[in-house]
Amino acid sequence: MKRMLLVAMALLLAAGTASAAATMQKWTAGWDNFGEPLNYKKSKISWSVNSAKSTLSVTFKLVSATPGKLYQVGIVPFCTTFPATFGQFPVDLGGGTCTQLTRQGVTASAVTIELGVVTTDMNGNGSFTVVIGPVVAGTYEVEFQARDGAGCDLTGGAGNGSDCADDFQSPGPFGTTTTITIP
Amino acid sequence: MKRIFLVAVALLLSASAASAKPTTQKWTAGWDIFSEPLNYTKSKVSWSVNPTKSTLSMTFTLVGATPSKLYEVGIDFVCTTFAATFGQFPVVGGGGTCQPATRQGVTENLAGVVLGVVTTDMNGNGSFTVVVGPIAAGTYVLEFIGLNGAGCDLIGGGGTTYETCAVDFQSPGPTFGDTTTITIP
Repeated sequence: MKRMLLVAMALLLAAGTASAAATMQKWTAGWDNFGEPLNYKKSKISWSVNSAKSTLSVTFKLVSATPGKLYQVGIVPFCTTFPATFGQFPVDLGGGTCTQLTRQGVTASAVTIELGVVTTDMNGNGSFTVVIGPVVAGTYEVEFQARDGAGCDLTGGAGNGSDCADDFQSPGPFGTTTTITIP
Repeated sequence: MKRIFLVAVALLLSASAASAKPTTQKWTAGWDIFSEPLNYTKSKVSWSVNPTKSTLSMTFTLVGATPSKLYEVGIDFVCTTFAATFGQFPVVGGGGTCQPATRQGVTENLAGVVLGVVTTDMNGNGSFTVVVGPIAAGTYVLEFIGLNGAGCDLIGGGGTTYETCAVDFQSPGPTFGDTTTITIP
């Protein structure tokens, strides 16, 4: 009986380790578009770091956005210089010197990594999960973003037009960051 | 002690029930575009039905496709008539009489549902998971599809053009009209 109990507890502990609690944070209105609909109470971003694998898992969730719409999501590290890649994803413009931007009265230098797309259903709800890695060890000051369409710096969408505008950011306002450490 | 053991076993059982093994099937070349790169050995569609919740979970995985590209994914149902919705997703065209289409020498009547987008990384790899439901009980005869872009019958992408809506990948295939049957009890 003791052995069975130990096995059961070990399995439970292993399951608990694999599903470590994620950090959750809310969306706020984007730095370009301020009128896009969203239930800001129910919408969120959840992220967690797997130290052993040097990976960052992120789930982007939108609730009551525009139904049947594509929102390209990504991560915006604030930086002076940045590598050409972040895990398995290329950095927009190839990395190097970070691009200076002024939004919401704040000027900061940043790069953007396009991670995927949230597609909303007929209720305006949708989510997308991505695992990035291995990520180079370091401390990253980032914002998460959702754009006004899909295809910004990616093939097969609307291209680099109005779809690149930022509808939602987290934490926001522009330049207010989340710190993510990859050990 | 016995109570703790029983609780632990119950938790393990519930965890395994929630992660029932899905059905996995391969992609084949699409019925519009035949030259889009893909590692057909490693790429797949996995799906499973949760009979309690009447939901269908699907994961679309692409390996070795075009890097940094958007592939809209969805389902084409072979049907005579179809409802206006499939779970929480609207049917393209609003449902009703299914529309005839001829591809690869085969004619079928179809209704389509767009589910999401696979975005590939710098290696051409990407995946997208969606849970659809609750779905009306029934037997659904269908193909999974991967399109050549994103925005077909959706807002905010490349629009409903041939370039976006052309089918790059189908599953099961290899021929238009080769179907998978999924039963929602």
